[in-house]
Amino acid sequence: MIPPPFEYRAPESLPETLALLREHGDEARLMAGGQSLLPMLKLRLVRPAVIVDIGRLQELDGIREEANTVRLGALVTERTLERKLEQRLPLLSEAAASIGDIHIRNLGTLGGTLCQADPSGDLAPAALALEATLTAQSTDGSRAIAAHEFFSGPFDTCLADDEMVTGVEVPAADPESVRGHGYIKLARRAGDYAVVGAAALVSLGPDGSCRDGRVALCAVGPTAFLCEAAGRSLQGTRLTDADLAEAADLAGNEADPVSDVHASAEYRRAMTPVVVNRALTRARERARASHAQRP
Amino acid sequence: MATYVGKSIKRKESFDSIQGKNTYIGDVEVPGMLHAAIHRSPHAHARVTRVDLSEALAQPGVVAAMSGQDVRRLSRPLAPFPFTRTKPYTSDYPRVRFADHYGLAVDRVRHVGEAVAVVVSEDRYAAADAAEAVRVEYEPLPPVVDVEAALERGTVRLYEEWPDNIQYEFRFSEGPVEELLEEAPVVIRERIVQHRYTGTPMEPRGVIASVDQRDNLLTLWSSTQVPHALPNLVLETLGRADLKIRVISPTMGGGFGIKWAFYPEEVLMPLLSLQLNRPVGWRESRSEHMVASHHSRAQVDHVEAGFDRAGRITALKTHVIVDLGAAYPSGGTSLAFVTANFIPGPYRVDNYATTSFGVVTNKTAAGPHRANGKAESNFIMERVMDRAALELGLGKDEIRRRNLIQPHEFPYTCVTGSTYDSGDYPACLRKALAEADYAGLLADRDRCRLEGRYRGVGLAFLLEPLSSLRPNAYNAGYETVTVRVDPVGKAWVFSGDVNMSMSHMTTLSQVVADELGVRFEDVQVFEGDSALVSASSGSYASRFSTVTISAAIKASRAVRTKILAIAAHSLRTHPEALECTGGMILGRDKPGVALTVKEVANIAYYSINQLPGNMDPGLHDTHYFINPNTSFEPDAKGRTSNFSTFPYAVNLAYVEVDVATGDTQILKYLTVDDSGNLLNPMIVDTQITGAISHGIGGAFLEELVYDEQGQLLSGTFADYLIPSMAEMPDLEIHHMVTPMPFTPGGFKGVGEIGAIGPPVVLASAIEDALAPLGVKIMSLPLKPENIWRAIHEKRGTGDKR
Repeated sequence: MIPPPFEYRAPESLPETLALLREHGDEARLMAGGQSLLPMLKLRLVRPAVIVDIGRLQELDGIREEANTVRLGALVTERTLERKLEQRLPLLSEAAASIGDIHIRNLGTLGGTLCQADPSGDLAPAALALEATLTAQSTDGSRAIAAHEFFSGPFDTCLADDEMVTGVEVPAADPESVRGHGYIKLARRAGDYAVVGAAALVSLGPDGSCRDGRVALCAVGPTAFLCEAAGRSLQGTRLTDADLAEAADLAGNEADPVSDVHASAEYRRAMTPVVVNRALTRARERARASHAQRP
Repeated sequence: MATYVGKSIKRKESFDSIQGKNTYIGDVEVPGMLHAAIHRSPHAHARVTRVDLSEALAQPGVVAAMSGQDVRRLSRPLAPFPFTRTKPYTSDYPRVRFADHYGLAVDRVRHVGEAVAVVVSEDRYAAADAAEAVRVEYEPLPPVVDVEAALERGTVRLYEEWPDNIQYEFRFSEGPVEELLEEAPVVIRERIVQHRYTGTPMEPRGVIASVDQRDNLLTLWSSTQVPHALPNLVLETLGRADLKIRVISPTMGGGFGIKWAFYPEEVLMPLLSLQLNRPVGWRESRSEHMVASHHSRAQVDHVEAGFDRAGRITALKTHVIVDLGAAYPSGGTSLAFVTANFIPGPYRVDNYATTSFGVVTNKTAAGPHRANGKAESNFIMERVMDRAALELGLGKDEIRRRNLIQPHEFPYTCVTGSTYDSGDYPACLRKALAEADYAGLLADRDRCRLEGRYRGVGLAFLLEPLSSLRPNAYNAGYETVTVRVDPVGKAWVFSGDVNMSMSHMTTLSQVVADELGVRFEDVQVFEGDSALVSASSGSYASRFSTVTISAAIKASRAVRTKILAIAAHSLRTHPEALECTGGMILGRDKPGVALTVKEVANIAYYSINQLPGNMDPGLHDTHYFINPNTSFEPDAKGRTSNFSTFPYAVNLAYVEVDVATGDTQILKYLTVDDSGNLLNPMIVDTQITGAISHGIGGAFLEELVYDEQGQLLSGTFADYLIPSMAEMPDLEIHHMVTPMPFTPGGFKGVGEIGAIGPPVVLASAIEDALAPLGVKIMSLPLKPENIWRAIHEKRGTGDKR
């Protein structure tokens, strides 16, 4: 419960932060909300020489809603996602609401949790299903990384040692269609990491058929991932129970989980289609409800 | 007389705990205190070939470091808590062995987390870094992890000086059990597996030792439930007859039995303090707690029960195998004793045979934990009753009704020798069924079944032996309370208990205020310090309201008698003509205040010439209240009676199981408790609520998981899951009151029975919900994956809803 010794830096600006990252490279760890980093430090699972606390970088906080995009700062808290995006990005809001408890969500951040890249993290499947793009910066400049290219392994991302995520952009829904969402996770307790987590999005065209379907999973592979076959199988269907079951089975085929104290790989594999089916069902019901309200 | 007792008076303790003003062990600051940190074994079983402290000693701030060899040179093996000697029993059974464990492992480690070296530093953070710099060479040995494998012939022995891995053995047989089982038309045979979990108090342990060399006085602060046993244990282990030891157990953030033990740190800190002539303290981290504070509950049980056609038990045979972990003095052997003795529970069982083993394995030592051995015994018997009901085509209620001990049979000496004090079991069952609308629940369940939903009703009759004692042990079976009225008329109460968040201050104040006839606010309670009273068995086994409260009543009555005698003498009347209430002495026949307690106290301490002839000054009494309804002396059948009172409860749960995932939702949870007279109904209900949440944790979430190498996989709160409010159902708590006949207040005790219920009644409910699938639940925990697996074995995984 006592962390190993480290140097603590709290830069006041983004350039200063990027310079520290350039200077210390893989010896440094960024701290945003600290909800994963602090327990890991106290358990001595990580031993960074330098902790760079980015909590003072106000330029990384805030939500900008534009016509075609929602721009989210890396320091936007999970609680803010939950409360402020209920209308615009309800899938992200629902996934955020399932994280930990209010105390954790008040501190945990969007950028922090994505960069933590916990295979069971709740926001990654939502980001994947929503086709989010992350902005990474270093002293060399900035680049855009698609969510599906960001995660490279358990607790690992494609970021270079001197790079940091500064924001996330999420494209707005197609105005021609209505969208329904669902994030369902099987967890041991309310707020725990997922045993299996599934984010689902379906879009209905004017005739009520499925224009687009997306399924993304967490906790059943080395990283969260998008199940492209499952999404594709829904396109053009009427989203009958059988259509959803087929998509759920396709997603289930992609599950490659490992065992831990909370659930065996066998159980996780068996639960994947169950959870996907429930997430798709929830998304379909919401989409149909919106569709029915359209003039 | 009862102005306060029986009322839901707000807790005195809450003012401090809500405002964060309590002084816990972590808040105790002794000037000049050094900080110790412990290097712990990463291996489950290994020879320690070398301990190199040089690198640790070279760290900045480090003052000292010790290995097991140093500790062996300076002290003796840990004293055999809870016993006062290594051969506590005179008869053949129970049989117990002790191992030579020191404050640090000497040449062998026997569980992950066993203390191997200690470093002492000026600074707690530096101490943690230095503990990491201790270099230890290990030669791994094959770990003994599975408790049944530990019993196999030729298996690795944890203690080479023992012939096998059996630390504790108890055998008992009464009646022609084998013959009756052979003749019985229905025999239930089951193997039951109960999992390892523990108490996990919010506050881990902590120990501080400080030596006053002038007076040879060692003051030991420890978050312990046994402050009065520790001076003996520490003296014996240090081999220092010259020392005086005072133990202070500060306000505790929960004990749950986990702090009822003699822990290595409780001798290490005194040893270091004596060596360094400085106060030395250690605070347990949560990660340490999970491997260094005792575990509980794990056992494998074999049971055979014979029933006649009418559904009455004719014979019961059990084999209990308790997984004790390493043989540290944790009091774990009681798990095997209590389980085996009380499997017959609330039922008339005349023919019973049991063999009970406490078996050592390469895991953290097991010890008592809220409803110690009782959660386990009830689980076994209630599973048997449900299976027998199915087998015989009887309702769960009916089979129990046919076997319950009847009200006219009390006091009832059960087959293993203890005497159940009082109760009306059939009435409790009736009340539970009525309050829950049992018939309505069954009808709803059947309706849901037709819709393809899996709902089930669970029923359990729980019996809890409590207020225990042992021969030749520190839990000797009495409690000590001193009641004093001071010269200004205020009451001071000194008890041998500890303040582990169980509302002792409030309930003792209620009782003493009523018995003395003073105001509740004028009573001050002190506990948790071995200097307060001469001896105590400590706080455990829900014994407070049986023995401590009784001692307080007796002591208060003695003081009150003296108050009235002085008042009567002063008023030239008879004591019988007076009564005392709210600090005022009134004439029974005449209106108006004759005298105040303050005025009487003034006479008792200052105007002693006004005392009746031969009366000593002062207003005080110390009472030793001996556990009633018990006997150390074996009866004609060799049985002892180790528990004073037997509260009971009927729990009823209604659940819905999601058969696709194995997840259970609790729709209703109801309990009818009979804990005797209620001291404070609000506190009783909060005890029951806390205990049920504890049991729900044990039923579904809390699990100490070891891999085949003996590594603990659930060593943090991310892996060892404690229930939160979100996991708690609404509870319906009802009461029945059958007073305890052998105590002056008629109170029994209520700290633990709630913790027994959930695993028992939820297994019953889940099994009922899944009855259409033929699923049988004979193991814990009831976590979704386990339930899913049980379903899956019966019907495959076709359902994707």
